[in-house]
Amino acid sequence: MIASTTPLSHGELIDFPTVSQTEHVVDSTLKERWEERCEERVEEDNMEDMIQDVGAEAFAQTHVYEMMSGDAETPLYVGSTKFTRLSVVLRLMNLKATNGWTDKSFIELLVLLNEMLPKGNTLPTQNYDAKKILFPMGMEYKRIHACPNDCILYKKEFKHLKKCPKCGSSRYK
Amino acid sequence: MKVVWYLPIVPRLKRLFANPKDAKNLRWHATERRCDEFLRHSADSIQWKNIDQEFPKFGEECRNILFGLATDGMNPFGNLSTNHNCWPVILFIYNLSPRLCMKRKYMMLSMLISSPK
Repeated sequence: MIASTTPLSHGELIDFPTVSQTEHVVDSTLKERWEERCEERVEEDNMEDMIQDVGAEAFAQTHVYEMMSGDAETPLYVGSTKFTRLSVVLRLMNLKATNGWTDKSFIELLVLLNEMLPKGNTLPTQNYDAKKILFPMGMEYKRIHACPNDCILYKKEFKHLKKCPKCGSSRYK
Repeated sequence: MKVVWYLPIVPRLKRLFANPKDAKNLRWHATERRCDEFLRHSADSIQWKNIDQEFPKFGEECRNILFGLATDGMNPFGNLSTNHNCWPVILFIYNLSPRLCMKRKYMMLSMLISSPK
């Protein structure tokens, strides 16, 4: 079910040498579909919708909303009508994520862009600053250690244990 | 070390319900679904009705969400690194109409389990 709906490269950990003949055919159709989906998604990326989605949730913490709508209204530089601070950071972050740019290359690009743009522009020059602008959009996550034999998760009553209570294997190898 | 990256789903559901359009879509299975003898959606199935019967309190509220869960081992960087296991756990919201419920936008990555081999 997943393979037909997600564009993740579905590489199993085992090699299947027999399918290599048809692989490029599958690849090209998958690629086409992926590109179609990208176009679809760009249309769906509606800034106002996005702020609305975030805004409603963040009403409790008004400063987040204010900060964000502030960035959404700040033009990239004086007189820019096409880009706002938020939209530029969003577009750049999207590029960074889809093409797997490293943090280092991203910062270098930000610095270069900053030099190219007119003085007094609002483009952040640090990856950290860019992340901070997008922070209210992003979702948090939790890291939970697990027993290597799948016995337990180190949470709740097992939170501070050093080894698995069932099989005795170490939490940290 | 085996680690579960858990991406909480409750705040994401809250955000879905905060958007009027999405909130309406999430009630689709109760409000807009056509009920006849044909099977078009998981909500037409006997299993779905059994769940509603078994847990009447859950079934009465159309905003309660029924998830489908799918997981599989995958290799995020092609065949280059085979010394790690990576298992994404993806949730599908079956409340949505069939047109939407398999859309990328509405699929949720709820967990990512990564471990050395």
